[in-house]
Amino acid sequence: MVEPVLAARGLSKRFGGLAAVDGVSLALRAGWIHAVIGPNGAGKTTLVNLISGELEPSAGSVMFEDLEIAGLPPARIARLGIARSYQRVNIFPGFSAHENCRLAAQSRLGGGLRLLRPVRAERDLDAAARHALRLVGLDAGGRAAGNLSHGEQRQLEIAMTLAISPKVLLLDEPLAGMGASESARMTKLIKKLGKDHAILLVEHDMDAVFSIADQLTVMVEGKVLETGKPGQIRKSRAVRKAYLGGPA
Amino acid sequence: MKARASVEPVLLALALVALVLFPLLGAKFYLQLFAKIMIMAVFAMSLDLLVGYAGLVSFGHAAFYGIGAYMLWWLSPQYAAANFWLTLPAAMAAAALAALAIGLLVLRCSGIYFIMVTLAFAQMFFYFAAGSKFFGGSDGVYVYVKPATGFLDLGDAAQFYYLALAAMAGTYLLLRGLIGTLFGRALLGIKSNEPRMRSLGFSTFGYKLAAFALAGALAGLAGYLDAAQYGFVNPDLFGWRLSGMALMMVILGGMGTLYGPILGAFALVLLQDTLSDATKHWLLPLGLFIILAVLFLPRGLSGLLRRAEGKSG
Amino acid sequence: MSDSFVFFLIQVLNGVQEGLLLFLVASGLTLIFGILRVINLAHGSFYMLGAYLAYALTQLTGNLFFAILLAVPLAIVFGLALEALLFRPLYARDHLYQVLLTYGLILVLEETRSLVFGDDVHGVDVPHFLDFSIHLTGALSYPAYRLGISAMCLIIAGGLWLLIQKTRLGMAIRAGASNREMVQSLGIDIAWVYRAVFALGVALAAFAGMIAAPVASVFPGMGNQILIISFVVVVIGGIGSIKGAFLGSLLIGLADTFGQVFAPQLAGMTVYVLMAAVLLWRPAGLFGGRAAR
Repeated sequence: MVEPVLAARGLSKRFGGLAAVDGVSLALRAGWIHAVIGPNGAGKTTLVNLISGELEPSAGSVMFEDLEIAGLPPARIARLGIARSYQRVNIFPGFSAHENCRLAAQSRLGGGLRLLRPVRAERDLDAAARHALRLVGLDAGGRAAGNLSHGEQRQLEIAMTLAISPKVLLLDEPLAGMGASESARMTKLIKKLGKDHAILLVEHDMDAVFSIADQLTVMVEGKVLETGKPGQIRKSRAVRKAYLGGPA
Repeated sequence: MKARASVEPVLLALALVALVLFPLLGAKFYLQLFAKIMIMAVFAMSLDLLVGYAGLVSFGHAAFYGIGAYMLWWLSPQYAAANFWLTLPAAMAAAALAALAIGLLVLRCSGIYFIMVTLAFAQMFFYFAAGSKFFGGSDGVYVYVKPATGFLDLGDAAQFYYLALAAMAGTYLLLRGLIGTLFGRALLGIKSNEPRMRSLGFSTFGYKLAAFALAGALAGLAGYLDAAQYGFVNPDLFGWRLSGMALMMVILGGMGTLYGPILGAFALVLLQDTLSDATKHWLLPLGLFIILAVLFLPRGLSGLLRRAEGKSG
Repeated sequence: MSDSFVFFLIQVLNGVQEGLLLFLVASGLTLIFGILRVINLAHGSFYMLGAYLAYALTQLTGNLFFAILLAVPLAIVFGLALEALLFRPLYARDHLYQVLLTYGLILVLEETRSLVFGDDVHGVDVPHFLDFSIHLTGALSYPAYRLGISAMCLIIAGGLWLLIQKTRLGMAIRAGASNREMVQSLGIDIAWVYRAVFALGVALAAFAGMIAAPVASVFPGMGNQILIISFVVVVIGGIGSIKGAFLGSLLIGLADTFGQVFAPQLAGMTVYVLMAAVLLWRPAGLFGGRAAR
């Protein structure tokens, strides 16, 4: 068994008396796509927020390559190589798609006097941005990102996540609101990305999930119901009862 | 938000030429008035860096203006000229340090809270100066002799005018250059969507603090020149009316453009000047003008310019 | 009762009275900002207008009580007109434009006041039935009118609490502007809520100016003075929170009063130091959690 790149153990988040995430453990491995599925309100997005640092865990740990990252600020976690995309498109609407990605790539440079160099001189950043956009297949020209179609914005969302050259991708419902052909294309892209990254994929689209996931975790009401390979999950009675409902 | 490479640089160059030639025809009164406007423009541009580029609406920016002014008084021997080349950097450094210290505290707040806590700190300076015998209290203090530059006589209206013009042009070029750097792009990103910047890996606090300190230094420059021009320094230079006036210039002129605040400074001070000659109650038409401008000029005066060029406003 | 204890008691009463008056102004401000999401720099001007109206109408009718009876409906009508003409276009706009427009409004209101009433400082007589002092001890007594002010403010505070807890309008207010859909699904017309809240805010500020006139006198700068302090209260208490405005007002009222007595060199600064301290500890005010933008 390959060593996990990122391992969450006993992760919990309480809001007052309510446990949005309760004792969740899962592991992400390089080259694997680990999907997290479950009904609405199961705590999937909260789980992503806990790993990305946007929320601080009430309990539990997240190990990334021997480093404890639970409780670190999101900027630090992103710089370590963990990138996330958002369920609701979260871009810079006033910038062009290229500028969005270039800005994302810029985060790799850190601080210092280098920041005083004019943007025009930064060929590397331009190349990184173009590469990310090519990967997702987005050709938006100079249009402002806010004017792109929803599908194009979702593509941009992923491109930005890739532009920071991450090792781990946390994808929060990347297929949300997409038509059939866009979904197919995005699914294919995620499968391709899965070869070079460790991916955590939160999704509702079961066809997509079952076609590309290497591992599945089913969450219900903040807890892990079951973890296993797609075939096993599909056959599991408990999962069917709680989520998939009826004969598969 | 990028500078469109079209009419704007040409217009700006023309404006610069006009300003350079102005002293050849202008009476002394206008030279002084325009110098005052250009000093205000420096102040307004420094605020635009915060408001229009970093998304930080400060209502206490006058704090740093006042520091620049008081520093000139403090470092000036009572009846002799201070050394311009030593006191100006010192004044700007003091303003920058104060901005750094205050920024460390206030940048934890956001939105309306940030607006108010910046106001609070400026008010603290105001009350401190007004209550302090050493700093002259509410009566203020006087800089009897203008600082000496070694080649410019700042007592001469035309020469002081050129100094103010140089300060304004220099500030504009500095900030314009800064916006085009990686740092500037990051600021724009922070203004557009700060949480996204953080999740991409940017430590946004550091960027905001750097912008805040730089804006403070430039405000200090403006305050220093104000004290050099009029020789009178009082707590009102820390006041919220001055902070508010600068904010008006930025918003009215068009924020996030840098030349917008310059337009705003010219518009508001000239308006103030012409109206106050006409009537004692000149603030009424000024107020009406501001209200109408907000209702009918959604992008400020610079938006008018862009619309005249046929671009989307 | 010892003299120094009574002296202390008087300061407390003064501080509470100052705080309660401040609460009337600050509550309107925090409602307008919390519900309508509009920053209203001109709020202090309503206070000032209320005071000048009270002065003028008292000259006319000879009695502050009647003056207030006439002036409050006027203030409400004025508030409704302003909301319709100037504030409605602002709801969708960036805060900066609201700041700019209301700044222009301050100028217009101040100069109009200057044209209509002049720039002199005026006094207003305390109404007869409250024009006496309560003897406390030795040489110290306390004006009944000041207690009257505090009482009236407390009654209004109670009324506000009832409004917010027990009425449909109050429900809409508690839901907050962020839940526009929820408010509309409750069958309440959101435009009406805005109008009502704005008019209420104006009336509260104006009323505060009216009852404060006998103790604080009527002078040109009074609007701006109370505006800044009200903003401090709103920020300390948390935007949109009446509870926060109440606690913040009392805190400021007491701090200012005691500050002037025990640390006059720091006069004026105390309020701001307090605000800075609260914000550094709680960047969204004491009760400002959800409304913070």
